[in-house]
Amino acid sequence: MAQVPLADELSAVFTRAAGLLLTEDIAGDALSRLAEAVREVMPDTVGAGMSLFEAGGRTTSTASTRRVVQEADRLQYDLGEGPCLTAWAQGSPVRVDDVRRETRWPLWATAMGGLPVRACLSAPLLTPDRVIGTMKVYSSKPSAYTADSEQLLVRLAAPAAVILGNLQPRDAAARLSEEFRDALRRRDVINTAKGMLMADLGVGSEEAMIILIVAADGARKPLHTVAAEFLGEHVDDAP
Amino acid sequence: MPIEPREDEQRTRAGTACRRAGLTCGQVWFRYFGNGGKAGSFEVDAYFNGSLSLPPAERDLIAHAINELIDELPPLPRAPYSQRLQDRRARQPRVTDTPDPPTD
Repeated sequence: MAQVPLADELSAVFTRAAGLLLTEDIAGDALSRLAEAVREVMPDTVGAGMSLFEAGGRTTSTASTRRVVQEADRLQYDLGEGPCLTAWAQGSPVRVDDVRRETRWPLWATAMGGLPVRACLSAPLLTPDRVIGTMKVYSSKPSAYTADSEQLLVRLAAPAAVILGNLQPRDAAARLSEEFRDALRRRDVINTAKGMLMADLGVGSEEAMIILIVAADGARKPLHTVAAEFLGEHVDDAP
Repeated sequence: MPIEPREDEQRTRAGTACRRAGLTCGQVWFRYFGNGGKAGSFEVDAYFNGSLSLPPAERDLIAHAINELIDELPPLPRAPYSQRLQDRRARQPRVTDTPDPPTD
């Protein structure tokens, strides 16, 4: 067992421990290309896109190929109803054959009247434990999408969900190093307190650590809080 | 080094506490490291798996890291009372939800 893990090993280990895999910049580019590819392979499609949802249905991030996608999406989020929100909520694909005859989301269907969109298909982005968002395509032709297109979109949504499921926000790296500095600060306070205890009581390193742990457990406080309190007392005691 | 029965019980019950609280080995190790733990994350993982023995102070540091993380977990949601719900509904009517059945 090493006394202090090597810095390189430590950062690699911490990165893995925190599950950092992808940044938004890298994933954003991949998603834009994917949205473009989806638009090309889905017949009669004017625009394709992906949205991420937080609990409660608030959208957090999107990649889309056309302005019409952004507009049709925005209407759903503003009105709180629409095929993507339903696909997200129920975790299965939703198809709209003709927006003008749509009755499931009356507010959205009415608001869509101003856009050159007639048909829509939305598939959930599924990770093993939850639905993180939707992939959707819009068409200017009524009944552009069939059960086959539904299957195709579900298959295209699978790799996108893997990318998005592992996505870390842009500031993750900065936050990570902040957490890391915090950990090193706490470690430092605790080790200093341990050293003081060893000198004060003439005990070994292990014994001093156990004294701190017992004190922290007894007070139901974090170890570094107890260590900082001990150091504070120690400073006060000094002449 | 053979693993003594006391260490075995400490390890098993620490693992149970982690599972019940939904804590990962990575989370526990990072807190343990911040608390002055000397073992690497692979070693802590191996300790949980019963394939590595650790000295008592390191075991207690792992236990304390777990307990700190457990103490920080948000409390379970409590069930609301009807009077409070009625008060709130009267203040802010919700538009998009399906209407509730009449309560009177």
